[in-house]
Amino acid sequence: MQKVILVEQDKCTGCRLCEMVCSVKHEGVSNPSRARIHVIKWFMEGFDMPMICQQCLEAPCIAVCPKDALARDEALGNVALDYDLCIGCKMCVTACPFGGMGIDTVTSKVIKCDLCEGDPQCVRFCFPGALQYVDANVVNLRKKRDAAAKLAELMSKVVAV
Amino acid sequence: MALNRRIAYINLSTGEIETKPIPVEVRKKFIGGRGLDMYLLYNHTEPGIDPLGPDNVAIVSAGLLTATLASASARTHVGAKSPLTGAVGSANMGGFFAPELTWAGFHHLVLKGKAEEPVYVWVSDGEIEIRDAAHLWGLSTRETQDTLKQELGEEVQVLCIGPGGENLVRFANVMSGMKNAGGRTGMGAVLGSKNVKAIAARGTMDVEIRYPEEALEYDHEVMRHIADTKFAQIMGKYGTMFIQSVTNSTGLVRTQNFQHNQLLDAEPIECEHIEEYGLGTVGCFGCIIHCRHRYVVDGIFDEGPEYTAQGAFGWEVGCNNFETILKGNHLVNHYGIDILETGSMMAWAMELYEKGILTNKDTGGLKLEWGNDEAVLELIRQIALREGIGDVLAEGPLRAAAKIGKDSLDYNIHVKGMSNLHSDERPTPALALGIATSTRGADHLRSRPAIDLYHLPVPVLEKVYNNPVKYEGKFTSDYRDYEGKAWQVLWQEMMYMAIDCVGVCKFHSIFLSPNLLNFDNISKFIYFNTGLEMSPRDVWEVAERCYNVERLFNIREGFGRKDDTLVDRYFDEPTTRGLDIVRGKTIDREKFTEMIDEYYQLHGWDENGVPTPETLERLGLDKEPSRML
Amino acid sequence: MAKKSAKKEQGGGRIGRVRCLNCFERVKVPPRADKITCPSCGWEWRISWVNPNLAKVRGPMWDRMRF
Repeated sequence: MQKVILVEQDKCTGCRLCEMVCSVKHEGVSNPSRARIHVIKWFMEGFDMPMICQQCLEAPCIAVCPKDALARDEALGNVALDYDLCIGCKMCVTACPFGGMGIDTVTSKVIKCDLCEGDPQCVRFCFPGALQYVDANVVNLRKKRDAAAKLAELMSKVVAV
Repeated sequence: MALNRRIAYINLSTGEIETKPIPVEVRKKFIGGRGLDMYLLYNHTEPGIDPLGPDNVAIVSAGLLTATLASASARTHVGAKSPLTGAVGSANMGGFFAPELTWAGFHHLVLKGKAEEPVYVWVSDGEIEIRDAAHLWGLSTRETQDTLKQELGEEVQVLCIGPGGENLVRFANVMSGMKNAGGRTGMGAVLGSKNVKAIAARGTMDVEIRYPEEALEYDHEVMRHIADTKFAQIMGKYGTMFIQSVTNSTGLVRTQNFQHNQLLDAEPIECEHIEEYGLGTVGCFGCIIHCRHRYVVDGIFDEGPEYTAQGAFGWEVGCNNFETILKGNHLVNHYGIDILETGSMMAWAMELYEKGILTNKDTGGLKLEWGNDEAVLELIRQIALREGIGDVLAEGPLRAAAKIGKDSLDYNIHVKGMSNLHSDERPTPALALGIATSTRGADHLRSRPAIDLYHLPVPVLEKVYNNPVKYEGKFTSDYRDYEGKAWQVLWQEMMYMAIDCVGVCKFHSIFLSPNLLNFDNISKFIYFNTGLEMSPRDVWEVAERCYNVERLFNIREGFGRKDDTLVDRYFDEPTTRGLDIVRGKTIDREKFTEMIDEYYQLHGWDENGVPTPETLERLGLDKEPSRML
Repeated sequence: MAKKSAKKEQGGGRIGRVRCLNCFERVKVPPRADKITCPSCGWEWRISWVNPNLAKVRGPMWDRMRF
């Protein structure tokens, strides 16, 4: 079963630890600008949203790549980037509607989330549970359970007729 | 690499900026953060300077391990000579500023002189500029940050002062984000006196981790451990306000300015009430405890409140209205003044008003009565803007008392001219010793052995407090005892100094829980992230060295044993309320004196609290000021 | 930092145990209880729950606390 990174925004505390561990894991440095994940913050409004590569099924980045350097890896369930084929044209950066493809200013290569080959570090370090690595077939059940729990509290106050 | 972060000397009078690397020898002696800031302060100032004059030096820094894999590695430190006390000025805050400064290539910014017109300092990827801030002067702390983010980019982090700092309120703070405040000792006034409205930082430079795989593993192991503690779970839900469940319930809080040690009917301000206003908790950079709340009250959105807010606008002033706490918290953030000092000054003013020493004529008709929520909120504004009686209170305990005259000073609860937190230390000698000897005045964060309150078994205390240096005396579990407490205070001084040097949050250290970071952890964090080999004993020695530099600074400014004491009320007025175990308590003068004697002796200081030549030589401080940096 | 205390595991873990602020004895808190009486000294404490497994003392019975 493929796993996906489930983002539960309301659990995000905005600490950005995920950004740091991502850059350490991939580049050996603490540098959020070289991370594949970012927490987008509206800090005066109090909203923090982790944004990641969505590993699209019909990925725009795959469609525009002139060298077929991007392709789906069905085992891992991600869009994989082959640096041997990549020419650095950055069309994928333009094509992605989520900002999932970034440019590493140190190496000048394009960078994206590779799910850390099945052990995503961002998930591992997210203690509040805003990022979870779950089987694709339980993603919506997880979210439904959380939503139902909120309703359950309310419903328990309703007196049965 | 953290070790290649630079120091910048910014001369605001001439506009000259010089940047230098920080030699490894300096790191081995002082590590960084607060410790190195204090060394810089000692070396770059002369005794007797006016803290609000151009000769004072303001140092803004990140710790050695900021933005590395070292648990909550987010802290910023600001140091200068304090305009409130004339002693060491030192303030510490969380948030995201220090990591950004680090990614921008710098660990220490030394601000000298005075700018002719309001300026802000812009730090980005190795470059520093002094820019015009005329359009920012007068703005609140939030408006300042919003404006700079619009100009410079959303990802920019800003450290700024508010109207409080601009008006040279002697306890004005520096702020970043909504509530991160470098509150104590008036660092905001120092920046205000230099016409520095803000420092903005944006960094995209690498901080290499020396052993990335090991650092990731170790950090995760530490975080897992912290997350599993009871403490982290309680803090993560209630923030520091949970402390009130222990302290007010027992009778360890100062109410009505020392007249009582407990607020009765405190149910309306118990920490559980935050759930009615809160929108979840958020955290500083890299922190898994996430101890601060976001809340809305009357359409105003802010972060907090902390235990200090609960006291400042709660039991200190006789109020038990949760919304007053939330609104007061917002106002001090907005104006940029230290919430602790503000609350304590107001409580003092209220007692003076009660006793007729301050009258309606002095207060312009403002009724400073216990429990007057409107007066409390109005007084915050007056202090920040220096209006009416606020202008007097803005001067801090000693100067305000001099202005008010009569015997007003006898009522004030301060040490070395800085107000104390709203805790009542009469039943707790260890905590009393801590505030009396703290280098920055009455302060609960320099050395508070808070775990003393948990009645831990002696074997647990031994395990904590005999590592890495053994105490030859005995410990006691009872917080009302005097035995062994001098060592506990000393140990905590070392722990907090070490944590402040590396830039990690104290809440992750042995402060409110005995199960958190100790010197072994700090040593390993330093090794994995920077490659520097420092044993736990080495880390302890650095902390001891830095703490002695703080002590030397104060001695050079004329402080001595006479200032390491408590106001008479601690010795003369017994506690009136609380559980039987804390009622009727004073600090015993004789036992207190013996504690001070032991405390000095354990530090290697003479009977006046001056580091002996042997101690200075052992710590390599015998040639100070040495101008290594 | 300290390893998890073996004593804590023996006592059924940290679930629902608080320390009486008056006599410092450990008191077991029944699930979902909103107050406890210390068996050692008789003081009553109101309880709040951080999560279903973690209780904390909320405060005393305020009407009992007089001076």
